[in-house]
Amino acid sequence: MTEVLIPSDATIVEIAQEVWSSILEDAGELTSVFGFDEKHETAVLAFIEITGNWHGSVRISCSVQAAKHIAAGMFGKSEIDVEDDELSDAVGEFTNIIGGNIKALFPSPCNLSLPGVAGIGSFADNLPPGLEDKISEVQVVEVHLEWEGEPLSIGLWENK
Amino acid sequence: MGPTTATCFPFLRDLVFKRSGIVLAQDQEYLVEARLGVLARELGFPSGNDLIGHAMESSDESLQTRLVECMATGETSWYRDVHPFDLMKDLVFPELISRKSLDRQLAIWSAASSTGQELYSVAMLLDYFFPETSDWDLKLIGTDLSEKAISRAKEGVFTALEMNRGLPAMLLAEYFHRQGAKFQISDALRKRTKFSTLNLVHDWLPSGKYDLILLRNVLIYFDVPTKRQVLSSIWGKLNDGGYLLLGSTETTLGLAEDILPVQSSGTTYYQKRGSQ
Amino acid sequence: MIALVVDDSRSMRSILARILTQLGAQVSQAGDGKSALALLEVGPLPDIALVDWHMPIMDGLQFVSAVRRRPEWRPMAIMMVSTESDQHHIVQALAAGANEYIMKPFTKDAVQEKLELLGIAVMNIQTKGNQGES
Ligand SMILES: C[S@@+](CC[C@H](N)C(=O)[O-])C[C@H]1O[C@@H](n2cnc3c(N)ncnc32)[C@H](O)[C@@H]1O
Repeated sequence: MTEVLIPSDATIVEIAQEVWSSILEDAGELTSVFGFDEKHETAVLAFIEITGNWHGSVRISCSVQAAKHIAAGMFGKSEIDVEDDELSDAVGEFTNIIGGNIKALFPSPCNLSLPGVAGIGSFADNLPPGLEDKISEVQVVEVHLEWEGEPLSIGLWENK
Repeated sequence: MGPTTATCFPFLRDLVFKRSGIVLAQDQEYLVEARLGVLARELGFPSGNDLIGHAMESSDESLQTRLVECMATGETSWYRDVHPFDLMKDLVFPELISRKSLDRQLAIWSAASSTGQELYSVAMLLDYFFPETSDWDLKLIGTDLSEKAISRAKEGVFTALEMNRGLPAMLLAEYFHRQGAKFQISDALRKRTKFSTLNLVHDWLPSGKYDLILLRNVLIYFDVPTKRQVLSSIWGKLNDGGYLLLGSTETTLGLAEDILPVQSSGTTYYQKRGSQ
Repeated sequence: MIALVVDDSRSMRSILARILTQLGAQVSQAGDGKSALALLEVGPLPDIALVDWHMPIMDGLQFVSAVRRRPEWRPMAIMMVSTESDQHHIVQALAAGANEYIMKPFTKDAVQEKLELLGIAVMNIQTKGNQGES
């Protein structure tokens, strides 16, 4: 494997903001923050795997409210009308787009898996359900973002 | 209490008008936060109005320049409106190339180039469809009021979102290479083009004459006297037989009676005849 | 204008369908290449298909190749809509017979401009978001 450069936090934040504002109409601002306070312990967890010249995964976790906001924006409906399957479809596609844009930072060829949405878990979980086989991955980037106080974090985990 | 919109907006409007000729309407107050908010926070001010308040007191030259830059809409895209580029491909360049086949030179000017998509679109079109001009003496210049836009144009690096805006996929594959998450235009095209800052209202226009001038989506921001002045000085920069293209909502009607529109390929162009 | 959106993600189909409807299109949808082909068999032939790359059952590239093997479907323009933004992917899609390519994420303006490039008449029925300039 060739030596690859791990993308900077700033690049990941930029990608997230670009995806956020272009797929959600009137999205509101997604801002970068240093960490989350205690009240956000449960989250929707999603991941996508990159293989090839870099091997690892992109893991996204966000509060249920943030996930609803994403789904509502993508489906063009109100947040109260968002069904569970729509929520996971939307978070999955959001993860797919972010993952695709992160993949583009690594030297090609790299491949992207289909996204997986692990359902509700805890922010503290380093290993959400569905990722048990990724026990050997180590986190190389972690960024925290916030939309109207609702948290969204993106982690890059490398399979060394 | 900090500075209010009631005092700041008139100051900003005056400043922008004096520096650039751009007219901000009274009901565009909302643009202040939208356009200056980020710069304000970057410079450590809580809001756009606070930043303007500071500019009112400090008469800081470079800050004023940045305020004007921020208020100038830089919105642009590749092959904008498509039809003008079809016109260049089907009419303007075939005619110019056959007429100039002896001196083998072409001078083209994008006179409010913003971040460069317009001039690079022309450069790609020439290279792709008229390879016979590759060894011609081509002068492709882009100018804009905004230093920031010009330095980005020189760099020729565009985000994926910008690449999506009207660029034919075939040309993306042909003329760009990746640079991390972004794309950079080929060195060959970057070397063939030249960008510099130029204020159409206050500066001397570049020397020499041009075969094609794009003055697109900039007159709309000016008042009538400024439109007239810019139009007539630009017209003076055209070679005989040279072409002028305006934005799709712009016209010379009511501004310059002697500059007559010609309709073709679903768009409008203006051509300078020998006598003009 | 009649448009066909092919993507395995319902939320992405919903975004595209909304944009296309605002641009005056009548939109049908399919979740993979195979069901999209089935829709084409029934007709009428859309003016354009917007096609994701990675999909289960039949992916976008296979769909493009299958469509281009049928002369009667030639008039339909195909635009890939994908997170893949490597140049070799774009070249591969064009070589298979796609006419345009748009990278995710995209804005409504971008979709509209690509349709204009393809010579497909759009009609801006609803201007939402940051259309036009101020
Ligand atoms: C909307 S953009 C148009 C860009 C491109 N011509 C197009 O049609 O896509 C308008 C540009 O005009 C520039 N501009 C405004 N006033 C100007 C002036 N007085 N002199 C030179 N450029 C000016 C702005 O900085 C901005 O980049």
